[in-house]
Amino acid sequence: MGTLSEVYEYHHEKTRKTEFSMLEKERGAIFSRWIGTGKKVLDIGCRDGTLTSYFAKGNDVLGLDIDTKMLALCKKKLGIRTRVIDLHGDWNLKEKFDVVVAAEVLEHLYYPDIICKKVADVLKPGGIFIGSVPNAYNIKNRIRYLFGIQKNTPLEDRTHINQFSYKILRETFKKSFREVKLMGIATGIGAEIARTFPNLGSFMLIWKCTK
Amino acid sequence: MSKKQFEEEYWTHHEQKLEERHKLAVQLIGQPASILDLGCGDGFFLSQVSVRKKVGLELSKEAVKAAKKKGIDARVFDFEEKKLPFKQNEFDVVTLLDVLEHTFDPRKPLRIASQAGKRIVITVPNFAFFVSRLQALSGGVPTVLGERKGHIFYFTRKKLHKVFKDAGIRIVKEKYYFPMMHVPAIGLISRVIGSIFPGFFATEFAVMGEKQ
Repeated sequence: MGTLSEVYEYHHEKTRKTEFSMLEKERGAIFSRWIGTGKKVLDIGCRDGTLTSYFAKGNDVLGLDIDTKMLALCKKKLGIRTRVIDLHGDWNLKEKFDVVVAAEVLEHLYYPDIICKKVADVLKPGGIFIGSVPNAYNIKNRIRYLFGIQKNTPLEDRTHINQFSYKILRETFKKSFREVKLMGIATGIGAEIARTFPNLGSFMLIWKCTK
Repeated sequence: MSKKQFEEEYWTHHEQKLEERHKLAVQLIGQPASILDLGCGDGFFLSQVSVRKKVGLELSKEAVKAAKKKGIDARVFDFEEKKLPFKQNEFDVVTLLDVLEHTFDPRKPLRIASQAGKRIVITVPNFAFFVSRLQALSGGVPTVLGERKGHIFYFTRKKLHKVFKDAGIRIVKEKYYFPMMHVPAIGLISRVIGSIFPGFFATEFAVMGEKQ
């Protein structure tokens, strides 16, 4: 494992199954509602397009990822435009978008605040930025950290460079976006708790920011 | 590549100062005739030791520039991508000071280091330091997870031992830094409690290892 693309190919093949996405249905439903149809959408870090499939229909989608194999799979499955890119570098996009999606991506990148600025740059005025990150500081994880446990927390995933809490994420977005809506999600009986207490009760944080 | 950009950005605004990890490493290396510092940064550690032959490898051009200014033989080199340009066991000691926590798979740099030298000395911050645990519980970001530090791998004492075992390196000696251990009176208490529960009270682990 040397280069970043190798790291991700390993990560995607060995630790994450294809067509696997955490809380996929929940996120898919919310994202497709937020996006609607007839939009130009940029999906950064779309992988094999498992989540992208929820909003690819009726929208003009461009998918970016560092993993060549997964991206080829995504193109074949969904027929969207794709490009292999390291998101840390220059994106070189000549077009502007109505929506940018970053589902489980920000925690993998070295400078989330710089990425947010880049996102704001490729959005049309009034465009929206939506996505999700694992909540590294929900009550379960905090208690695990107290006991020095990393298993089953976002820390366990080596490709996570950043660990977000509700507060940190909010502060990051406020620097680049006019309006920030941040919500928590979880499954089963936790869903209601996550909605009411996103900070402590959610498994995952999702957002909708307006430029 | 991203890691390079990150390190470049970091070293443009950063200058190393004497920290506990350097003191621990100096104690562990003893008096070798030659030393290789992987991830040498701006060459601060090498500038502190009096060893006849010393070489530093570093990812960031900025950092290497700063190291050269100190008169250190530092070279821009990504040891995760290319093979080391040295003979087997060319150095007495190879150091990796606060480097392993920046890598996706710490076993790899350990194996690379063990080819270039007889002994390996490493330091890593302790994720399970009790203050970090309390910080995390209260929802604050523990110092070791701090934003913009680029830490990827979070070491506890147990994890550190496992990584060494997996890399085929035997731990010969371990040293710790406990808060206030050099303060009179309090330092004694800190050292006594710390040595009973090092995984809990150490902020930094320093380990010397040898190939099995």
